[in-house]
Amino acid sequence: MTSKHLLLIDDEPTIQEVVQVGLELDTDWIISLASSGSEGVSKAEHEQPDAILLDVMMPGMDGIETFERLKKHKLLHSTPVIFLTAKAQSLQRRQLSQIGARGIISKPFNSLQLAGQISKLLGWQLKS
Amino acid sequence: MRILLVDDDRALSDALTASFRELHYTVDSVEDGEEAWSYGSTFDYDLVILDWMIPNVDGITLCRRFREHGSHVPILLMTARNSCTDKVVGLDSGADDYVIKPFDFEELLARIRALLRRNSDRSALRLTCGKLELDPRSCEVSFDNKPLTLTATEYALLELFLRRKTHTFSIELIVDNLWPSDSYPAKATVRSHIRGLRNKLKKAGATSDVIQTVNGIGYRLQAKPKNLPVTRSTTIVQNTFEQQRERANMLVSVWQKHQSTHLNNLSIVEHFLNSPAMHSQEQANNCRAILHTLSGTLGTFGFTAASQLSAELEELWPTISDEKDLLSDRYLTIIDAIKTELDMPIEQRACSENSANDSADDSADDSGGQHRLMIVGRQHALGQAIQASILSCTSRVEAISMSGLGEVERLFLDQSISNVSLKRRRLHECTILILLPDIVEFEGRNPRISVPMLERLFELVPNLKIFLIQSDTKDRQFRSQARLTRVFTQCEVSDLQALPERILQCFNIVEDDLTVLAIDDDPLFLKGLESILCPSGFNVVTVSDCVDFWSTLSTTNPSLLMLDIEMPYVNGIELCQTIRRHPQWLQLPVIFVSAYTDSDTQHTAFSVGADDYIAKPIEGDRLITRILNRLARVNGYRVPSAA
Repeated sequence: MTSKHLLLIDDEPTIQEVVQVGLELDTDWIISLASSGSEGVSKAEHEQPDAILLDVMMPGMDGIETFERLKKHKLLHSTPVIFLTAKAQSLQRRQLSQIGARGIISKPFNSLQLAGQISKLLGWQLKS
Repeated sequence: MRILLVDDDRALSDALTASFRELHYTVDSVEDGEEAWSYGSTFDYDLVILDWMIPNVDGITLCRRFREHGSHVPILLMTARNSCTDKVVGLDSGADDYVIKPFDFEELLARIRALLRRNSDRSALRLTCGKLELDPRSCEVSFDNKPLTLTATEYALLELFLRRKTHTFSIELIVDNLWPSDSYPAKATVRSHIRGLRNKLKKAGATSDVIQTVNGIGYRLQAKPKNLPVTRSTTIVQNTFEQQRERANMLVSVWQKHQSTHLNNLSIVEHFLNSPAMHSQEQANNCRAILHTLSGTLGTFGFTAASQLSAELEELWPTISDEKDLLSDRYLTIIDAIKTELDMPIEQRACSENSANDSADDSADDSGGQHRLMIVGRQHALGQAIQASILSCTSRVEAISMSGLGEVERLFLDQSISNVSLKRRRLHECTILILLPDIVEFEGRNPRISVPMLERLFELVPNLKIFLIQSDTKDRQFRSQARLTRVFTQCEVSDLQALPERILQCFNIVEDDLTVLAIDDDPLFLKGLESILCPSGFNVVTVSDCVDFWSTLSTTNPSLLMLDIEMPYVNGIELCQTIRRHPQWLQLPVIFVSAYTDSDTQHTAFSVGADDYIAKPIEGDRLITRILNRLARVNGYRVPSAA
């Protein structure tokens, strides 16, 4: 079975590194990174990931706009998107759920639990 | 199965729609090409039936457009054009099949079934899963050769699952597949249909749920039971110490690499706060973005307080940047506190972040069931009286120490934040502070200890318990302010007899055999709940599969029930309603614990008989206090006053 491919779109290098290294410790997933919404859409188009982890608050094109672009894209509209947000208030959670997010993970997250949270939301199996 | 029917012949469309719906197909019917494109590019269909001659965009062009945009939906072209050339043009445009009007309805149905089978997991005419069989031609369903009578929606659900056996369907996806696009059924409605289908399958003899719940995702046809995927929560529980150490090393390494960036960013915020009037709105926005990043990042490395303080400052930022001339030192004090925490060694934080993420461990007692307590104030006679009354009532409290004003000042009134870690370390030495009236009450216009100072103390030591001892009549203002913070336990001097009992409650010492039954589909939450409640003496029984609920309820006869709201098999609200209908469980205290924080959900919970409602994530100490309070109110339970 081929490894799952997850694209992280987040402008914060610390988060990028901790997510990438942490997930690579816990899983056999391929993690690729993008630092902005536009780079994320472009990478997603090129790499066709199995799922996208998307920060909500980013400079320029924010997470919501990035999500909308992904959903309008003929090749990416069905790619599941999980939002990463530091402001996971109930209102925003509901808003993100309503626009079609597969899930929401709050920042700060526990890096040890991140793979479990993602796999649960996506229905992916983790390596034992 | 969901079909998009595109034909401007209203009479034919209506007839076909009615016939398809009788056969349990979900149909969206549109009359022109643009509208069809809009529907087809928005929703997922199992089949598009397309007339050639339609307004705005003709069928051939539309067919090509679907294919050019990567759609693989089966397309059946309908037309009165019957030449070989037309058929070739139609099929070359991307259509999968071609029927010529007027057509035989049975033939059309056969062609539709053939097209639908192409996208199904099996090519067989009958859809099967073990002893379960569904015949799309006759719409008959049977289990172990016994016929099943299903509603139209139950049938459609089962057909959906059987046609895509490996798919997991979220409720939204089920709605998209089975309901017309102008219908918006509630999630509860979909769950109710699934429940109905499951019940009928079970009654027919299915030994376990054929429709399996995939937690957090949706529903699917049951996979091979013996090869269920390993759940992450199991893996998390099994994380070894080595894994945690490896993780800690990783976090240390990443933090060391990025630490200077975050500290530099923090300095930018500090610089702004030192002279806000000198800075532009853009710089103010930049500072807010920095705080946002810090709040989301620091906690991952174990800097919990710094993360929370950053979030707090971010929330306050609009006020700060609007009132540049009215800045108080408090904001700079918060920056200092963040910097101080970031200066602390990451190694210990990285380890603790992963090994113990709940506050229960912090409040756990290291001294074999004994608790530490500090009485703070200059009123030694009163302090000694309190000490004596506590010691006469319980042997569970040890190391009561008295502190004078000098100690208090060092603990509370020292404005230099450089000794935050010292404060934290010293305060960890005791788990309860009793503040005597001379510390609490007003002197002139201000109390010696202000509410914000006490709030700061809680920021430093979140699990600290503080008792305010107050005179009967004074300090109403302070008391009401303190109550607003919801972090203080207050006791009046005239009511000191009750103090030992309240301290025992505060320590969450449960000496009776109390059983809490908790139902939640998240095994990790249940595990965490056990770790919070068991050390305080509760007997905790957890149920993650609601199938076992009623038998477990009868056998455990719990003192209190904790219910989640969103669960795969049953909704907690409905379960509570059912429980309340049973005379046996009418008085059972029920506390909802849910991630929903909106007032509507809470109102609904209370309206169906909940006694309390706690939002996730739960805080150990507060949860125990709420449970004890609930038991006290409902059952007259009291924490014993003597050990």
